[in-house]
Amino acid sequence: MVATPAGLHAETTPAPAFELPKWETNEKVRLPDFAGQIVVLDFFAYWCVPCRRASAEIEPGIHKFYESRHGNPNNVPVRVVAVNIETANPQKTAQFIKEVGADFVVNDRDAALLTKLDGAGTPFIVVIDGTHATKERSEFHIIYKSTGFEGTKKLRQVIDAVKPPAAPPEGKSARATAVLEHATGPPVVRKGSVAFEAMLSSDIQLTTTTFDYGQQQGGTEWNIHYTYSTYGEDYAPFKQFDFLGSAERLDEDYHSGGASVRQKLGDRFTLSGSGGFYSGFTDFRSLWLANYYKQQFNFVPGYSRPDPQGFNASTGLRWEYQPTTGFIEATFLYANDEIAPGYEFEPTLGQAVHGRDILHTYSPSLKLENVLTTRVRTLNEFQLTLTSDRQPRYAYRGAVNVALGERWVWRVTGGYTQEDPTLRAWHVGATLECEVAPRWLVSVSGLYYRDTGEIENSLFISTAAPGLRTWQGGIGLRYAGVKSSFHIAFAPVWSEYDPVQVGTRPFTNLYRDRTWYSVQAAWSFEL
Amino acid sequence: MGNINSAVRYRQKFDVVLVCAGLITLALAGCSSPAVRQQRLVAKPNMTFSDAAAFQYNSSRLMSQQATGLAGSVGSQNSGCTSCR
Repeated sequence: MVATPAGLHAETTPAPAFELPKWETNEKVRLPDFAGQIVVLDFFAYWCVPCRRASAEIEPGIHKFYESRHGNPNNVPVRVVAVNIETANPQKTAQFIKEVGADFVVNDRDAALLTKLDGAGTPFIVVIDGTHATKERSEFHIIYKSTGFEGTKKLRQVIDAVKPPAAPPEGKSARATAVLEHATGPPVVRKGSVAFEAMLSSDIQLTTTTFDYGQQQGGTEWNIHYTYSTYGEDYAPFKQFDFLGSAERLDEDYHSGGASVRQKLGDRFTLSGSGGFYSGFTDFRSLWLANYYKQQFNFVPGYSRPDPQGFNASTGLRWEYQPTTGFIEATFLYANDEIAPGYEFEPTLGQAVHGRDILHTYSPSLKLENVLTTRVRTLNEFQLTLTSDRQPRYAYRGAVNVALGERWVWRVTGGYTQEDPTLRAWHVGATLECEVAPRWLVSVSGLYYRDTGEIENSLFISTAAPGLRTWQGGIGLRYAGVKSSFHIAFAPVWSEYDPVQVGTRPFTNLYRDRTWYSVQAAWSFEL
Repeated sequence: MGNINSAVRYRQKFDVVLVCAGLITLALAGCSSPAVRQQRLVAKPNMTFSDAAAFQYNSSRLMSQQATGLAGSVGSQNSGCTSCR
């Protein structure tokens, strides 16, 4: 998104003179041409997504509205001038103008007027009072500026307050009570998505489906989501070490839900908060391990079947330190997890005892997003995770998006994770995407992951995974529509474990090499 | 002893990587950025880091169940060990 948070600048500063060519005819349009009128400048670009909604509402809500009423309640004429700042690709600009119904359009070459008016992004709306100006006397005042569209209601309030130097005749002001009818507040944007993913191997089948819905109005945005996942596993004990184990089919469900709220504070800051809960195993490995302990200790005093669940809460603050091009966000998360613990038999007690079953996690993170050049956008994230009875985990994730041309985008991702004493993990991936037809994009991607294995614990039997390598390659198809987009992708994944250590031998069949097939499908829409 | 030296080397490498990444990030973040009218290419939906599900790249929640270094900050999933004491 190019538009920056909306900001109202209720000021009466002199408006700079301008002379701009009219769209298609190149006829000169000058500020003095609007003497005695109120001028609404609507700066846009065809590639600016929020501009489409702003211009589509300004045309009927301001231009046609005041045209039908011959001006504001004080009989001051109102003119809407749509100002195009993108002079490349006139066909797409023409399509934009047609779709939003813009009536009076001028070109602002090199966005010179936008810059002169201190516009930080688009849409950029300016209201100029020209009631004190004449052809000979250029006295125009800026009475409203906003980066971002606050709705026609706000604009009408500003416009209706303008009075000409001479008071209107008696009786005309009666229209003032009706002008706010059908005016809109800040546009309401409703968004939703449905995403499905499956990873299938010969003995383990995983699926997850997420439903997401949210609404944004003005500076407030909220979102709710629900995830349903399934695990299907052909549990197979490693008979050389697990004499008592038996093969069986495991089928489990996982449910999670959550909500988040974001609230803009002024022009540059956004405060966020979120919370969530879940019920069920969070991954297929913990289900497999829990089943091992169930088979070993089901009839041993002290054992109880696990019921994994948890909740989390987070808060964050985002700062747009460079308008439209530089963002930094700090977040803090707390998570409470009731996990499926491991068991061992304690002879002195004559029963099974388990390890820690409640984990507390505290995790601050810092995220930076920057537009470095006209073709490069980057994202860097640093995260610290503090979990009960574990060493701090440090993680870095980064991504660079490069526009190779009009139709090609190349994305590189990478990351590094470290937790003492022995866990080191890193990954690197790339995606190349091409717009093969208007709004249709095809991509190829690859990802390599390597870790040194997880934390060995002090038990005779350790559930910690050995080192892992994964290779993933994939193809994808995306449709990027105005109101609706979808994406499907398919990727084979090869996972290869390092040799299992002696203490982990009972789980050899869990930590074996596999070939997976990953399928992803997602649909995002805007109402 | 070999394992300790290896762990120390890894730690030093990570520290260097982290510091370099931080310095590069901060240095580049302070550089002048393109003007609004020059942001046509970087404003495309597939150039932004959108949360929309249809614009995710190489983002797999299921993959991170196995490759824990890919996981985001989720407590038990990120902890990696289900029976540590």
